[in-house]
Amino acid sequence: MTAMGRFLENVYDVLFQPGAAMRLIAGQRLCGQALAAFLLSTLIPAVAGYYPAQAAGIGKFYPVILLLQLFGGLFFWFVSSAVLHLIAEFYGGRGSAAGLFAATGFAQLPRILIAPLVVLAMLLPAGAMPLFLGLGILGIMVWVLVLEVSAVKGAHELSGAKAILVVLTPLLTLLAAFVALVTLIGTAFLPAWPG
Amino acid sequence: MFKRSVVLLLAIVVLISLVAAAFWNPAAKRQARSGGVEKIAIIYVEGVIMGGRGTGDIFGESSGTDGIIKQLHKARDDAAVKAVVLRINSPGGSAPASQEVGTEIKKLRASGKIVVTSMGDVAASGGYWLAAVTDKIYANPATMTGSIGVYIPYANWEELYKKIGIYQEKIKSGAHKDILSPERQMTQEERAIIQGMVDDLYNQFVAVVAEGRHMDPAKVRQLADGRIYTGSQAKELGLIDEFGTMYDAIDGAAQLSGIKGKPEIKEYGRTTPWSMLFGAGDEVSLEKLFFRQVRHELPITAPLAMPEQW
Repeated sequence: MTAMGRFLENVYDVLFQPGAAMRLIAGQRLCGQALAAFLLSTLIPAVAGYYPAQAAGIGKFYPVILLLQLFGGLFFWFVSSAVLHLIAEFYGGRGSAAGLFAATGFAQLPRILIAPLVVLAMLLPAGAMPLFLGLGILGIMVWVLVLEVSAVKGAHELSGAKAILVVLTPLLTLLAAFVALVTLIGTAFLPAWPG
Repeated sequence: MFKRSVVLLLAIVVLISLVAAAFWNPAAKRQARSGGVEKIAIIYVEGVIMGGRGTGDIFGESSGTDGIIKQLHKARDDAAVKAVVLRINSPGGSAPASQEVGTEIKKLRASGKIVVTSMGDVAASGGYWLAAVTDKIYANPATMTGSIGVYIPYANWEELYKKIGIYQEKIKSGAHKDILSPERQMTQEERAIIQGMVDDLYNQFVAVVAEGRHMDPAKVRQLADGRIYTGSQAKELGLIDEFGTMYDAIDGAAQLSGIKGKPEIKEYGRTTPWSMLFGAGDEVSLEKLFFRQVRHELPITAPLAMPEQW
């Protein structure tokens, strides 16, 4: 089978049979294929988003937004997979960092569906468009999150519950830090309660 | 083979979507057909009108007239904005600051945009100065308005300074360099100088009202003895045009600017969740001004176009 053929089959498996696919991708540390999947997942929605942005009058800033999305996305992928790997090890995971890096790169694939979603949204009346786009993008983000859980589970041979905890731990930590920060600053800035 | 076919089919769908998005964009076409969305901008003038950038914090800047002027420029430069509703809830403030904002409103009108005033609780003195230069004024019957006039505050703390043992000496470049100084009694000559300034500012204010409201300056002088009017009284005297809320003013602005259908509203200077959370003052209060004046952060000669009490 050619390299392209293997890549296409991996894409199918990630989207429709993620459990086994993530184990294979992480086990074989398919970082090159993962990079291709990640770039497609970042660039396709970015290109699709250009036309609505142009209609909204922010088209001239789009090259900057595109570059930020691309390089910011690559950086975030690298850092987030490292953090997930560390947390997975805390939870008893036995996988490799490169394997998890490859699996989380493939986990972004549902984002390419944003392109057809944008076109479908254009067919709708102006009032229904934001709701449709919002729900559609939310669905895709949930799909990505589910694939990330599969990636952690497959790469580190963890149970489903532990894999969910690994993915949610950074999110919950950030949320807790935000709440603590807001409370702290709020306490410092709010005027004293009138006695 | 099946898997590859499915993925290739998916790739074709994505590719067609990208091409379709490029060549067929109904939203953009709709916008092009209608000549773009027509908007009405709302600019809020709240609290004491005072020049400068206001006070800033890490969550944004609060209102000084620089912020209002910036918003007026944004509205002027936005081709989609056909009219501006100035929502005034202000007892007035510094005469130069009111004049500066008034000049910018005139420039905005000269650029072909309609400017309509909606008065809230109070739009008096400097607040009325701004309203007078707009195309149409809406107020509620109970709105406090008027107070057309100018004063320069002066406090003589000489006796207090003596009691607490403060003796200040000044080496002056000229006889009137420390005019309005709170450490000593004002001289008759100085009083005449200040009165001349107040009269000049008052004449400027009267001229603005007369021009903006298409009234005889002599009639404006009759009304402009500094008193406050209710919205109801102001309508009888021709100081406002219509009774109505902010939404009536928006409808009026849409009508005057020829917007057909429901206009899109664009609010400038909206309260952010941060400022709500941390109570960042979005207005300048008289107490703050007083303390700034005591700390010598304000020019002591700032002539005020606002009622002494409200």
